[in-house]
Amino acid sequence: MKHMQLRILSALLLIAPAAVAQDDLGAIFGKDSVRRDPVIATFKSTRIINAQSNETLARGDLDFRVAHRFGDMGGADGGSATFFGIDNSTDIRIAFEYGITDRLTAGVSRAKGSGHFSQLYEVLGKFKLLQQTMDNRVPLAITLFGNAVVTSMKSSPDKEAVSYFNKFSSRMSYTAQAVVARKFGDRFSLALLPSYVHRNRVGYMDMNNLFALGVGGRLRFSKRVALVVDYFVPFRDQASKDYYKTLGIEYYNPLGIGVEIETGGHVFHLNFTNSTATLENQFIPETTTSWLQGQFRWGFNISRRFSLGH
Amino acid sequence: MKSFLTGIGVMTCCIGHVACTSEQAPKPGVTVSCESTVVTSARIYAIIQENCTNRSCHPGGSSPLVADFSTLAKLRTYINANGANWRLRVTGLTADMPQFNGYPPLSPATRDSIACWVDKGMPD
Repeated sequence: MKHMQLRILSALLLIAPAAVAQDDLGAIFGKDSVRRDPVIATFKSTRIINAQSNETLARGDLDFRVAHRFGDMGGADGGSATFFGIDNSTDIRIAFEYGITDRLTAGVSRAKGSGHFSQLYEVLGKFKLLQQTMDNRVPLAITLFGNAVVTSMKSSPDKEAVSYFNKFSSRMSYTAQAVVARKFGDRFSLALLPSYVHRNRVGYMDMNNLFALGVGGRLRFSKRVALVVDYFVPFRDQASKDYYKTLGIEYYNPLGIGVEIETGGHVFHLNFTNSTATLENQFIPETTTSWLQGQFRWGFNISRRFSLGH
Repeated sequence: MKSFLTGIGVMTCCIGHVACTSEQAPKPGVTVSCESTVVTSARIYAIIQENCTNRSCHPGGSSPLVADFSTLAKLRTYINANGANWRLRVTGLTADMPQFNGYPPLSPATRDSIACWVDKGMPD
């Protein structure tokens, strides 16, 4: 017993100076320097599901991304006949995005397209304006996103069709977006996405300029698995909604729900969404599929990063 | 970095000025009678290519259960053999083609043109 007490006493004597030394280090370097560190990994990927996250790529990183959306799981075009949508693909996007600096990302992509236009080419840029800090001096992260998209599809011969292009600019559309995000603790992140979509050519009674507000979130379950959700509310005017309703077309707000799995270098999303398209220029203004009518689909986003600058 | 961002900003403004336009497709026209309408095979087949074959749904070469519209002759053969199905799914009031999957439906004017072309015996 006496021997045991001696051992405990020796251990305490060894630990105590180490604890004092930690305090001394804190005093030398200043605890504030630790607390002012930027908050990292608000989201694990540059996209939540459909929506952009506030994350940009590190300088010299190349992100190879593949996004795929299958056909309707239910409704008239789903069910067992199409193996719950897997026989159809509504959109496929392949992208290369590159971190020019830690704050600035640029990229190009090709998407099948889903909506009025198909065969899409995209140029995108993303700039991290503000980064949330650990000490809350900067409570929010703000990232700006913009893209320009052009379709290479054949022009329709029908002048009344949206896809009738009498000049090159009719093929273009653009998105401008701010991603305002905050990480609450270790497990939960939230983002608000005020968005603006401009399409140079639209159908009769459609809107060239459309504002929308998106919201996205990430709830981490474990070190590698998280629940991700995003939702957009496009502010389409009532006259436009009413006109398209008379044609049997109803617009819905895109909602995505998914599971994010991080596997070291890869971030893999398994998601379900009612939007058929992958690009903001289409899924914000042109989602005409509804969760409640079984018109949601399985999709995935795969991201593989390569470090080219180190 | 600042000059780079300024350059990007200037470039964006230039692109915006030149490539940012706003146009709306015209209001769909009023229906005209089939008798007085001239609908050519070339026009109809362009519509079929845009809506049926270019989207990888009916390009031919896949399952024999899927209609093959890879040529105008094959389109004609299909319509001759499956007229009722064509009317039901493509030109009828409850037409479900092109299948939804995010694609816009054919406009009523386009459906009427196709129906008119079929009714007239699919002339060149």
